[in-house]
Amino acid sequence: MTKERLQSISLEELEVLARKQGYELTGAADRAALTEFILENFKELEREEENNLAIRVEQSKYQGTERETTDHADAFPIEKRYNQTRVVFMVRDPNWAYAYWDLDNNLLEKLKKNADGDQLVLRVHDVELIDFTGSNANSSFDIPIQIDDTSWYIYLPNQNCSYILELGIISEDKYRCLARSNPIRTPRNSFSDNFPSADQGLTLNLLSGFDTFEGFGSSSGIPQRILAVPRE
Amino acid sequence: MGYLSLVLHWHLPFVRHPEHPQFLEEDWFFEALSETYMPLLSVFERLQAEGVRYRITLSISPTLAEMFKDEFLQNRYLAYLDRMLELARLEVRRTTENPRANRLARMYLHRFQECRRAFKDRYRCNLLDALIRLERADLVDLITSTATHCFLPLFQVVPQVVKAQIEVAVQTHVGNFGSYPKGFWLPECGYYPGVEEYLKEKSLSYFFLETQGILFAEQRPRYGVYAPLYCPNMVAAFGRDPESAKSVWSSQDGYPGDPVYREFYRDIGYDLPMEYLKPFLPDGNVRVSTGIKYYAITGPGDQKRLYSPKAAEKKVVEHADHFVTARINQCRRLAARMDRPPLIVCPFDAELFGHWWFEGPQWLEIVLRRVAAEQDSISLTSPGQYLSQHPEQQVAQPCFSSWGNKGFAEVWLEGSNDWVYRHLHQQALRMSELVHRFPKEKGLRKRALNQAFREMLLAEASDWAFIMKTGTTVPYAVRRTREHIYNFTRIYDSLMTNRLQQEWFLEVEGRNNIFPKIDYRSCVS
Repeated sequence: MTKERLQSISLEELEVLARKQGYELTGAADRAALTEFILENFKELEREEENNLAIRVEQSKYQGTERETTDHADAFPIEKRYNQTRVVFMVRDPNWAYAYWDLDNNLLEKLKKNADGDQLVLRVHDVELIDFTGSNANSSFDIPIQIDDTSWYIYLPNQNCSYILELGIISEDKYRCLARSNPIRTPRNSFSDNFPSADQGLTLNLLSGFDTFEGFGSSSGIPQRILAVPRE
Repeated sequence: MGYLSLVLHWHLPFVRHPEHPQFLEEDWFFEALSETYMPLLSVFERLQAEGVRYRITLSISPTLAEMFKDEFLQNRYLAYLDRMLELARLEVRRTTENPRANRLARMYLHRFQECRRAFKDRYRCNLLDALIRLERADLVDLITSTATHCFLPLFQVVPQVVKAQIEVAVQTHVGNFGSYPKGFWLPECGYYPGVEEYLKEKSLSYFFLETQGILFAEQRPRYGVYAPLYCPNMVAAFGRDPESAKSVWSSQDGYPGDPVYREFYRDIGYDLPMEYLKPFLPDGNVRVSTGIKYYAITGPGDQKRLYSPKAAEKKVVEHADHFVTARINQCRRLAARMDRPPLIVCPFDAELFGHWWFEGPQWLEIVLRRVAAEQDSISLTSPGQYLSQHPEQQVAQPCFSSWGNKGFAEVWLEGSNDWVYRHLHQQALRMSELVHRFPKEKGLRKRALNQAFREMLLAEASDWAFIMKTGTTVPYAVRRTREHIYNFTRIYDSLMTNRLQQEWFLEVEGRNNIFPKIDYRSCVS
């Protein structure tokens, strides 16, 4: 929920919303005060959500105590890398994805020798509604990475959108793709605009906990944030 | 006028350590047996004996079902109960000067005695039969979850894992319960568009979703979460009702946080002198929770009042009445706007009841009784039953979601646990490689392939990533992840080089013995 979004609704609706959240109105309603109250309250809800009971109950199943940590690395050695050039893309929420990658030993050696001139990058392609050929993305952007990096969280500008990631190298202004990831699709964080029929939909969506929703989202300040506007 | 569908998800990860004389993390299972699983069964059985009709859906995770029937763990539980009985007797003696505390000590002694009697005599050490009886009486619908509680959205790049997790789950369920599960519990309600294809392949007809998985579907849901959606392939998705969830789950206004209820965190294992507790603690020096807890939640701060079972009992009745009345009102409100009876779906982790919320099983019992008495206004149903009565539903693709914080995958993919996926995905690719390379094996090599498959599945448990994120017993979760990846890789390497170290292999096979009928060929890409 954002300030802009709150500014776009009527004063009456603001009042109803604020009262629902426990605001006690005295005298004439002040738009700024109501807005501030709602935003504050929303932050509060978000903090609670951070620590929701479902997670705490689940946590209680694993109650225990921190014993001396034995060195698992010695007891169960596992490989750090797998000697292959590969990049994997994983969607986490409407705006964030995680990528991990690996370079095979030969390539890694070569890159290390040439470390001065070359820049390793992650190239993020928006491939919504296209059959990606390598050069026809709707838009792309680069994230420079270091040779020792092996994973990264990536902010993706669009929700409900398909992306592909490339691990590539730029040397002398020329880009070369080393590995291409699987495609991912970011989830939406708002209602679809596609209605089953004109007369239905909204009121029951409201009943589906719109008024008790604590809001979902990957980070604060997303403009598409759901807003609990009561309609009475 | 409306339906209520209660769903309890029973799950614990596979924890079994015969290589140690006593193992702290096995207590998770023992505590849950005493506090949740047997108390819930006795609620269900009591209602059945009294002829109270009810219908409830229980998702029993395959790892938990396998532990229920494991003789080694059964015997360990009896030994655990004996230790607890001894401690409870000591407590009765220790508290003689304080009559109120003494009554509580006697209550715990009595509970442990009851547990031992029920476990040995009534259930013959195996809870599976009791669950089967309830299902045969049409009171309970048993469904399954992924084989090792794998959080599927993070395995999209290795669909062989998704497939194998579902296939092994269904096989195990049929083997354990003798019935085919109609529905499926996606661990943590973790859903990604497309997972329904794998459910359909195994003839599973429904699953559960977090609220926004339905609300943010590709087409706006006509009835919100109060009717299921069919995915485009006609597998049904039931959404969690946020209103009822809040009354139970909210950490501030939820029932379990009421000041008169028993406080979960104050346990004599942490409160009493080490010297006294020594014989009951792992290694004699590690403080753990014992399940004996004398205080009520009381309120903020460390000053706690002694727990009063009477006051709690009164409150439980109030809360159960409140819940049922609220649901009836909710149904009335919804029914006025719908052309079909609304369905309110309430899924919970079973361990909420009894383990975390001590009074939870009592609350559930009263809710079931009240609803049975209010049949004109609200009736209990199962998703399967609902679908057969109301087969026509809207078709729309649900949205990626989970019931973890913020509703997506953040709990299981963040700084503390993201390192596991590189290895887990690699392991899956290697498992498929093994299947292609050794399509028809016999003897020891077949056993090695099956064990590699078991180790792969065990490493994929979402419990480990969850624990890394939430911070309790992290070293154990890290150890388990590494151990299974290590075991898998060692078997993989030895199969590829044809050099299997038998002694080590047999020890691992004997210890991580879950899913005895597993077939490694289930993991094909």
